[in-house]
Amino acid sequence: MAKVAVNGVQIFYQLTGEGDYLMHVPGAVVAHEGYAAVTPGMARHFKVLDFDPRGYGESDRPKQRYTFDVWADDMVGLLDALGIDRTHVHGGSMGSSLGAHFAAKYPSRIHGLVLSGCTAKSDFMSKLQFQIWKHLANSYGTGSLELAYALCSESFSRRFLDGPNGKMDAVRGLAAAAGRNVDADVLCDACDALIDIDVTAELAKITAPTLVVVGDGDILTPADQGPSGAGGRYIYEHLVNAEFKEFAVIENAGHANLMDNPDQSNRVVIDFLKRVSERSASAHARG
Amino acid sequence: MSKVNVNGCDIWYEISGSGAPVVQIGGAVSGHEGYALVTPELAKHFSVLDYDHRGYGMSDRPKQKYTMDTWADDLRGLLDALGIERTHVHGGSMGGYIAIKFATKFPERVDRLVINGAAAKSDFTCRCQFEVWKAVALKYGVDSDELAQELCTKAFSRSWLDSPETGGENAVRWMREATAPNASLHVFLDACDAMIETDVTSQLSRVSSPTLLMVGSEDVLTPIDQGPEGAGMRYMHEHIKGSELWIADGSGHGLLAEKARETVEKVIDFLSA
Repeated sequence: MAKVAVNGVQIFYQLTGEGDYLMHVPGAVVAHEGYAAVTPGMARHFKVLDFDPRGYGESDRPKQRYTFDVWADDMVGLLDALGIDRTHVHGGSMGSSLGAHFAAKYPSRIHGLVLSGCTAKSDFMSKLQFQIWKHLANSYGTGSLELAYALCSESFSRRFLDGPNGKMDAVRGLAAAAGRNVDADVLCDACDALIDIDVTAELAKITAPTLVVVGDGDILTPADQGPSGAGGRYIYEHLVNAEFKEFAVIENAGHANLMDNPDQSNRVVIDFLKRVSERSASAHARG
Repeated sequence: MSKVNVNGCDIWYEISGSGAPVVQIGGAVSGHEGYALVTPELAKHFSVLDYDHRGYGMSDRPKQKYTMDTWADDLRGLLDALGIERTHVHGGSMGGYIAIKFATKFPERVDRLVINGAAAKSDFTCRCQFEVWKAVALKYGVDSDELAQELCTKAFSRSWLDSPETGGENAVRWMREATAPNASLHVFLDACDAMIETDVTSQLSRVSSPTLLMVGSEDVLTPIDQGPEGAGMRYMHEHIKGSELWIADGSGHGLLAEKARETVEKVIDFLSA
């Protein structure tokens, strides 16, 4: 565990394992803790960089306006500070929308890209869902059961929530993690960023090999948004300049596919990024 | 339009058309108004009884505990008061929860049964959804934009919410205007608890009437399949002898809005058989 100054704030980060770099981009609610169950497995293949974005977890949380630009610029600042030229990037939930924004803004810094549970543009349903998060965070607090009920019912599959790790354990666990990692002001900015996001025009700027992942039962960031939005399938179809691209549907999984079906979800990510690493290694050897 | 006293409570009702009787049971927010588009069509074939259940619309809204039993018992009382021995029953959303409760409790009163977007038992996801409804209603009121926004995310599909005519802020306004005059906070909170707590799984074998189960393929509130601890539309289909499961492709929970024509045609066909 360490911190480094990036654009005037202290950013918490952690490096685990050996291999090509893999940066985990957190979602809107639980910061780097969202990858706690994933990092050990990934660290067997990659040098994993976990971090808390500005405003989250153990990083500084200044009172300011938070946008995808703020967070993307911090990401490049973090890579600069750590001397990392290029890295695999795996973003889930808001981390994937941020990952797409980052990849379009700083394409040369991306080795391989994984966008999991991703929205390039929110339809009216998604806008309403994020509005409700704002209402609940403002009224009851980010550590409340009320907000956690909404987050759980939209993030997990019905099977998961009925199962041994579901029910009130899941609700209380998520409430505690949210309360620890984010305040209402920052979460509301994150929701606004998700409501307003539109990276559809930027998708063509993404050049890295890209894997788009979505749970087959995702009701928050489904493969297909309504006509006014752009979900995972749209993103996959519009990555016209990606070196190569793949689309993976995780079975029996909601938005939180890493928790709903960790076996398949981790396997597709590791398999994809290892192939990207091998391709660039052999290109390097040839070059 | 008239009122009749049922179990100590004045219940508003209206009968339209003529033919075999059909009673329609309203949902958790809009009382009988939820059937405004359906009644004129059904009334061409049937004698349609619309009413506001206790706590809703133009019926009395006493301070008391409301449960599925309260509403099922009132429906029997209403039928008794109007001299209707046996009737087709059509219930959507919470009206479907009440209809299935009624059909298990008073099977001899049901001719044919139509359940539209309901569950025999809520899974934990449903429980979370109704807890959110309660939290938003408590903080912002049943007549708020905030509750209307939340209800829209559960009532409609993404494509419906994106439609220029019906979707966007139009959907939110429509939902608020359907809810505000018809629901009261204390009743709505009980309605959410009633849907969380209901469990008629062990009584489904008591349903003796031909039954049509209708659900949208995109319904996230009362889906075809609940989680393992719940009992959704397919479960009811598997446990009600001879029932028919009808799935409206592309529709959310609000079939009567999103697929109005197909749904009404199917209901008329089924009740006419």
